[in-house]
Amino acid sequence: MIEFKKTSDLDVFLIFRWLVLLSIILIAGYTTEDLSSISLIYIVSFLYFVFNLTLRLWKPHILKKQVTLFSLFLFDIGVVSTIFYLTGGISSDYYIFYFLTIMMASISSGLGAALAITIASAGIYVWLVQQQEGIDLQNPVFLLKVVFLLLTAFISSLWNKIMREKVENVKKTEEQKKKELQQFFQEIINSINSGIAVFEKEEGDLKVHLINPKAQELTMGNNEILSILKQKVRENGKTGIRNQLIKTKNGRYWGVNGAVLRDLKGKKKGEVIIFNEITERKKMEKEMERSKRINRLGRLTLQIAHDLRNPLGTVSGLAQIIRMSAEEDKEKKYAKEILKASNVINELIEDMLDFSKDQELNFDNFNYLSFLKEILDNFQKAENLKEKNVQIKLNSGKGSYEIKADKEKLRRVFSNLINNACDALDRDGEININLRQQNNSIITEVIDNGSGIPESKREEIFEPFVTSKKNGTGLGLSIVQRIVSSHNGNVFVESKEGEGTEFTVVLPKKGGKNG
Amino acid sequence: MARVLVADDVPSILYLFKEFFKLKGFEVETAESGFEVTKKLGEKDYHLVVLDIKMGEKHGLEVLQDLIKRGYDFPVIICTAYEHLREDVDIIAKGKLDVDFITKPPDLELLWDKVVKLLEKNAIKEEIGTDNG
Repeated sequence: MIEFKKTSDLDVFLIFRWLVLLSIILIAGYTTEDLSSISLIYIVSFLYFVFNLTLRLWKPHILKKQVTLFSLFLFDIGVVSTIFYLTGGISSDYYIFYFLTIMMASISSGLGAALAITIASAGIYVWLVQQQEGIDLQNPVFLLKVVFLLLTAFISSLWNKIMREKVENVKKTEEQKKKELQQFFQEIINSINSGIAVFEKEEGDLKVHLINPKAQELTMGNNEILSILKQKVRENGKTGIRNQLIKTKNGRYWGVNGAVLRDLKGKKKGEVIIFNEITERKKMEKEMERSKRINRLGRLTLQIAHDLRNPLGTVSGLAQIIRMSAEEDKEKKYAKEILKASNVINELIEDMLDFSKDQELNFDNFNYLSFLKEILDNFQKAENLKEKNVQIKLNSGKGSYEIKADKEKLRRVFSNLINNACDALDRDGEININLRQQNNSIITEVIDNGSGIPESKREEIFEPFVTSKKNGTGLGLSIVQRIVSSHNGNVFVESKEGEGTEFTVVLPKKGGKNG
Repeated sequence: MARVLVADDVPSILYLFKEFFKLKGFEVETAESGFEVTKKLGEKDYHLVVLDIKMGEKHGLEVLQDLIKRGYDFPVIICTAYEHLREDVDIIAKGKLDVDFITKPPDLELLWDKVVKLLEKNAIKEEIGTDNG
């Protein structure tokens, strides 16, 4: 059956039915020969007209009901039968009016309603015939008419059903396609590995209309980025966000792009935002930039160190010759001072070479604890520690401290760290070296209670040529970092000005990338 | 008088070694390149050669190989800062020449110790008559 989705469709149907029946009644009235019935037909048609006019006042939801429609068709059957009666009963041809009503019933209410209407029509028709002429079972025309009524009900219902199914199939396929398309887009949005957030204006305020799973994942426990995006959508007006980099307070970086959504009038109603977290990439870029810079610096440093070596060799060599051959003490003293200064320059050159050379590692298996003890023994004898009366203490946790590493390189690491600690200390200071194991790493802390590193220098303390010492070259810690990271280890610093500094060296037991 | 040949492509270093060995009573000849080393060796006999490993046209290692090929057996002191070059030198000279190393800038006292040691060893070698050539 036809569902009247729109009230206007129903209206058209009802008015069409009304006009057709009304015109048939009028034609019947006009053509009939029995003049005594004419006035009655006009009264019936007038009443039918008025009744249908009142239908216009009925509420649509009542009209839409199948019961109402069925009643209307019964009413129509009644009217048709009246006309049929008034125009001469069995001898008249107006019984065909029944077909019209039956067809309309089958179209609007299906086979059941059509059969009911047909049976009602046939019943009334038979009754009228009997009233007017008596039923003559010998007359086949009468039976044929009834059979035709039934056939009409069947055929028009069937035809209607087929047509309806066709229409419904088309509708279904379209709906299916629409659904599939919707699902397809939904899947794309869900599977995109970027955050997607759609902002739309609702009641004058910008609201998050849609957010995909990736965006939910990215913004989990952190709504800051969403509120920044909202702000940006507001600020960027007509153009939308274009390739913007946003940094949130927690130090995360975001790459953001947007496309403006418009209403039918072309006015901006919102924006689709695609965003990604690019913190890791940013970090990598920074790291790459740093390593490029250090490589450049390394080449330059290497060149300078090499160029300095030969003239320094001559200076210190000749000073040695003067010291050997001079007869006066004064000359010998001058030579000694030149040599002292040359040694300082030479140490700087060594640092520069160490810094710029590739860290090729020669791995050995050895006991790290004994190795550190040996280094500390040497330091106990060192002049700079003795002068300041600095105490070094080694505290180690339990376990085996077997390690695979480059012994000489690590010696450099700890002599640099301990020398730094000593430089930071005043008289009677203390250096604590704490040793412990964690998983497959050995963790060494070198802690002094000295002057500490100023906050402004702390972040870049491992950069080459950055120093907080008066006479430092700023290469010691960058050498430390290079050696430790070439062992696949890590070195961290914590410091408080006036309270001391703590360096933490984490080394894998099984050696670094070359091990 | 002991005679030494010093080879370095840096004039100031050459001057330094010349002054040093003169002070120590040596007769000193100098060479500024590997080719000059070969040329000078053909002219006189030497008790010692001090060789810079990095010299412009002819590398110190090539000069060393040349010396061995020609059958010289005087001790050689090589100036180098590179560990891996030391290994190369050891492989080339093993059993054929007495070789020792000093770094730049040279510590002259250390150099002198090495010179004395090498010359003494060589003198003993000559005394007990194990001269191969």
